[in-house]
Amino acid sequence: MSDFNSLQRFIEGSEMARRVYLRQVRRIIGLFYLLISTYVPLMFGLTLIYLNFHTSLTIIDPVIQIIIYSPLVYSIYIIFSSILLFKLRKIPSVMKKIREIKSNKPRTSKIFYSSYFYYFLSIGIISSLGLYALLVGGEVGEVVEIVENFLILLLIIKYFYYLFSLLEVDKWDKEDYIALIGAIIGFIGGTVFNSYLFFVFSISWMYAGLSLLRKNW
Amino acid sequence: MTGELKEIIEIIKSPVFTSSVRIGILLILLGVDKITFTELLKSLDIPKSSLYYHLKILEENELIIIRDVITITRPRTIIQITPKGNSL
Repeated sequence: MSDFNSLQRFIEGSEMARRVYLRQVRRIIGLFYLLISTYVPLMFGLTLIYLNFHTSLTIIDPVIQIIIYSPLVYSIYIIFSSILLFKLRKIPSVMKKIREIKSNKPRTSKIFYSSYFYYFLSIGIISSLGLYALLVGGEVGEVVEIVENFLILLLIIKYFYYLFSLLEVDKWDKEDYIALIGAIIGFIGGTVFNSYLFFVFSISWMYAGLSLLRKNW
Repeated sequence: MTGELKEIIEIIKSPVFTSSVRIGILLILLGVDKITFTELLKSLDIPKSSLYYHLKILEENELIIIRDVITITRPRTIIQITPKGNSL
């Protein structure tokens, strides 16, 4: 059996793996969009209950107050998002390895282009913004928090596109455009003009999530 | 040719990997740890009997584990990579 035949089989096998990974990535992205899309309606609903019924619902009043004003809900969303992203952790390294084998070139490590560099840079920027928002407080603090959340979402979207580039996807799906445009309109409009515009973000992400899941489940 | 490539070609030359489907299944499991039979069938687009045959060979060589689990919706067949499969 020649080396050429063996390599050919490996290339065919890796193409199968690429297709399955892509499906898996699309599904996780769909779930992620759907999960994040529920945050604004949930918080809006809880705030509405608290503001309209806080005199009649005295027993559950403090509970809702804690849920709204503490980072409890936010933390739950962070945990579930992390679990989803964690499921994709091995795909980049396997795809990189496949690419190296196919091109017969070992990977050269460059600190400024490595994923670790971006990872630590992102953590540093987000932590600094979080700390700044906490120290400043008030309306400025709230705006900084919104910017921080927007940045987190953009970084996660960037990570998804990094996965797409490894999986040799050269064309975005319409759901990706909808999610990106929805996030930009929702966050900028919601912060600058009217907070109801955050719903544009939620609705667009809900649609993108459901559509991706319908296609890839 | 790099040493790593030579090593991989030697592994692929073994009788277990005479089919690209089996190489593909192992590569899939290296990236996702476990997958259901149905999902694999949908993604690979090969006959059910053929997939079952390839899975059995990988299982006999202790590279994967096939187990039936009961879920809320229906029973599912889960395919999982073994430490031996991971070490390749």
